[in-house]
Amino acid sequence: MRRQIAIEAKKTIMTAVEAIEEVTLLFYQQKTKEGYNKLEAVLTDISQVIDLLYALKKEELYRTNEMLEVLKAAMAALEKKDLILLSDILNYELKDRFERVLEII
Amino acid sequence: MGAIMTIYEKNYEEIKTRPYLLKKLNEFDKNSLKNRLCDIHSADTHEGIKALHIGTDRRSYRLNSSYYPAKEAQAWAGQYDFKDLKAYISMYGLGSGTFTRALIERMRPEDFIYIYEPSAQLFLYILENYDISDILRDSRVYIGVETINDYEFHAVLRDNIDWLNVHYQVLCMHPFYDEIFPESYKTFLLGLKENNIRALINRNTTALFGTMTVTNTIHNFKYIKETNVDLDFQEDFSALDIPAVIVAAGPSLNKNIEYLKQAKGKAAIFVVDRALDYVLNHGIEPDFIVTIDSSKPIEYFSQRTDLTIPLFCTISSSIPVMDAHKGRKILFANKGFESYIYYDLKKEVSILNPGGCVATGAFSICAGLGFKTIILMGQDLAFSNDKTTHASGIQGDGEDLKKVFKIVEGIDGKPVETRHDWYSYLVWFQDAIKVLPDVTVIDATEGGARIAGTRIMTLKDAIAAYCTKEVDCRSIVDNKKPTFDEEDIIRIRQILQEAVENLKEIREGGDRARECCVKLSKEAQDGTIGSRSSQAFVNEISEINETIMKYPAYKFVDNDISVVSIQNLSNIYKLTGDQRADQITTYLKAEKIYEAIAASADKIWPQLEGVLADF
Repeated sequence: MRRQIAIEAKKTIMTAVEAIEEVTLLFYQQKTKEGYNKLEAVLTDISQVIDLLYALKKEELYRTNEMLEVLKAAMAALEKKDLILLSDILNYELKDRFERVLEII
Repeated sequence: MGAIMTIYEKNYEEIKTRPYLLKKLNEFDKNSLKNRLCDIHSADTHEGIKALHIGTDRRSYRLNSSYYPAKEAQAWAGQYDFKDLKAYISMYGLGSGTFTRALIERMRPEDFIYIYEPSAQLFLYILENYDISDILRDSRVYIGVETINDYEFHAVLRDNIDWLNVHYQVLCMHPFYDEIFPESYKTFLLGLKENNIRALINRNTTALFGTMTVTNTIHNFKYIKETNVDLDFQEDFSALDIPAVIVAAGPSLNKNIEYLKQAKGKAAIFVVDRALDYVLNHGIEPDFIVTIDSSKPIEYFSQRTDLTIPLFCTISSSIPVMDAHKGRKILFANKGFESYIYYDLKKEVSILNPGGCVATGAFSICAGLGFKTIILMGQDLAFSNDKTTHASGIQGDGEDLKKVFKIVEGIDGKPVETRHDWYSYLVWFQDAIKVLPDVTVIDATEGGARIAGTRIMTLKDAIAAYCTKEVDCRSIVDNKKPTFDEEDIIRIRQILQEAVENLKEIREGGDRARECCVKLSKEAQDGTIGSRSSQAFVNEISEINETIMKYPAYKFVDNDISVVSIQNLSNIYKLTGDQRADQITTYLKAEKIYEAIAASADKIWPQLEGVLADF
């Protein structure tokens, strides 16, 4: 069961990383409408990753609480419509953490 | 050990290589800032580059990523791919230079970028705080800053965008600049649009008048012996403290024509061709007539058959006009084959930009002659209230030329309607006045569109204020010998003979190049481009091009084949990505062009030979 969750988490992390790269590139290129269209799916992927990592427990390894804090900061940026800050947080804070988890999961 | 330069000093060192920007920067009055910002500051980021923050009265903007500005800029620039033959990029907003730099990194050596910065305040801040010396040093970069040197914007567009590349321009905007400077951005886009229209109109004009230009030039060569050039009179008029009055044919001319009599003998009166008979019918003999249009019908010039008033014209001016005129002809804006004659004989010619019409041409002439005061009359550049285009008594334009393009400010602040071509002349006048700060331009039209940079006066007041000294313009002209003496005429004959021989060589070269293109098309279809034989054909075409295009007489051919060139070159900048298809298309089009070159040269050399009898 644990193994299955880990496999699912790995797959979801890879999807989320790709989606983050895609949507942040759109925002960096000022393609706001297209970015917004894909954003909901990205946020869903990110939430799923965090949920799956929570299910695996091992907080000290995956630092899921930290990810949640980063996600809150990203949402705050989104609320302020600061799409560049949102993209930076997703790219350099969240994506980096996801990629680190991929190496150890 | 040398002192370390400050950021400003580094940037300023590079600005010195841009003399016009340097001059305008040094003259800039910091109290005259437009598009004022409430706040400008910079903040540290995770990179070595700072993020630029600005504040307007509405909100604050962070113009760069607070994490990695350079990476953000590279991601942004990644959406621009310069694949066509030569890219012309217009970028609205310099910002801190980070986005510009990322774009420049993607440019090729042959590409060109024009950066328009709407905030002089921000530009001055950037010069102090951000090292943009690499951008300023790059010869592919042109920078225009609003209120500092932005009026060069139109000239840069005119010089770099033509019908060949008008559809392949790249437009970029620094993030957020459209929100921060909405009105300026709209004006910037409008400038681009208007230039695109101008480029396409020029293409159509070139196609329409290319052959006529050649025919007219060859016909009018017979007059060249007795002509002067505008610069022959520069010393005479620049030494006089008298104004020039330019009489155009706009509707308002009816209001004040009678006052013009008071200026006679106290100003140099230049009248555009269309207004000539109207002015003469009011008992006023102008000092000069100005004509440009190579297709001007005689009824739009004069009904008179005894005109000896000196005529400013080009060598390709209308044949009926040149034949009807019996007085001294003064050539200006020489840029065709005839410019080579002046060059060979070491005669100085002006390199005027005559603008797009006879009135702008007259203005250029007056500025070139050194007049310090220029009075405009009849220069409405707008429809009258009853939609007339010209003064009553002057033949107006037909209904097809009464389409309103824009509403602009009138001289009384009220809106007036203008046509597309008049609007482009209005912009031309405004730009020209900006680059002539020592010239006082009085708009004494008493109607029409407001021309920014002019002083508005009634003609009566302008004459009272400025027409205070006597002058006899006619005797200045009559006492001036023609540009060419007898020895020069002998050399002109030799030049024309050489041109005849060169045209025969151009014909032969065109034929040979066409044959090479036929063979290269075959090789492209067979997929053997790059083989030794195909390279030999390419080399032969290069040699032919180098030979025939260096002949001054080639200018005749170039004008004459305008229609064919336009038809075959209009997509030359666009590459499909399919190399073989692009090659086939290129050689098929080149074949048609060389065929036209040969036919044109063969047509023109006998015409030119016929002119020799006049020399």
